[in-house]
Amino acid sequence: MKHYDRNTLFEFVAGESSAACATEIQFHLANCPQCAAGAEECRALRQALQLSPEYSAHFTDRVMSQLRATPRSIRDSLTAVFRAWFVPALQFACAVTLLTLHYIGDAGPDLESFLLSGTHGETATEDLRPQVSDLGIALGISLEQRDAQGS
Amino acid sequence: MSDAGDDLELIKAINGGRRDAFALLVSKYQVKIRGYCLHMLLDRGAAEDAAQEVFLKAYRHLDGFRSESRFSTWLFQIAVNHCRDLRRRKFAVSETSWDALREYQQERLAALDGGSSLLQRCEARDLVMKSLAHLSPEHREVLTLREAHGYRYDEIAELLHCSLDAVKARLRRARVELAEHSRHFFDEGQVKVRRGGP
Repeated sequence: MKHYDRNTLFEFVAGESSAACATEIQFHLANCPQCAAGAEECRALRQALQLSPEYSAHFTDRVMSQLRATPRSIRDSLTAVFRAWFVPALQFACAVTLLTLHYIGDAGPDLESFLLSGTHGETATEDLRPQVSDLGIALGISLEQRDAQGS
Repeated sequence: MSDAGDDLELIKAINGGRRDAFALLVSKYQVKIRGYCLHMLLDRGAAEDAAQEVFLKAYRHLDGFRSESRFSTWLFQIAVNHCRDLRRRKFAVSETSWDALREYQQERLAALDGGSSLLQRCEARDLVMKSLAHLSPEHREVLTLREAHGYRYDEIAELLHCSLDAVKARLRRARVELAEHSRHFFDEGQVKVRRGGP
């Protein structure tokens, strides 16, 4: 009696054999205990291979916590850097510019000349001191330093 | 909506900034990916770490996903490549993480409480792992994708970047080798065979 090899039996239990071939094998297995045992082994192996790990909610939590800790891509990294540094820097620069424009607009040529030339204007020098002092603080310059440089 | 359609909706949401929606994809595919990594690496701790890395890679490259293929196939492609990389780098198998060990022990205890069928399930899985260890990685790949995950031959060829004939030849060889290496378990009666039709 001819016997089927393991691969043919595997294909049979996996449902990969053609209809004619499957009928032939089925008939053979009914009369051949050796091949029938082989087919059962193949079936058991397939079932064992299909056993998966149990679902783990803990695994999903681990992935998600890891994912929150790492940026998604280069684009994400750049976005993070942009948000962390560039945006505050831009906001600060805008604030300083607006503040400067505000003081220059209010003080007119006297303040401008005071800041640029180092010579005190003829008019309203004392009146301007509080404004100059505030602007100096905003720009990181103390009025005393400015005076020292002017003299 | 279809399964693939659900995935696409989730991916759109994630790409739109809803990062937490990714948890649904992880929950949906974690069993398959962890199972694949376990069959390929044959080490619980390494497989859990690898599966985690597969999902992180998928997340990082999600905006590159094109809906021409199914998301599950795309994810498996990442898993196949990642496990190959790890094997090339000869990953360390000695360190099993505490998480993986604890989950494994809990599973074994549940199996003991749950009666003989669950215990047989655990034993059968352990034994098939021992048999798989005798197969080459190429044979394990094709066998796992076909028998455990039900991929078609042409899909396996696409995933593994090889010809259809190569898949057929590898699968044939892998099945025969697995049967050979498992034979003594059957002889010892350790694997319980269930009678039934194909």
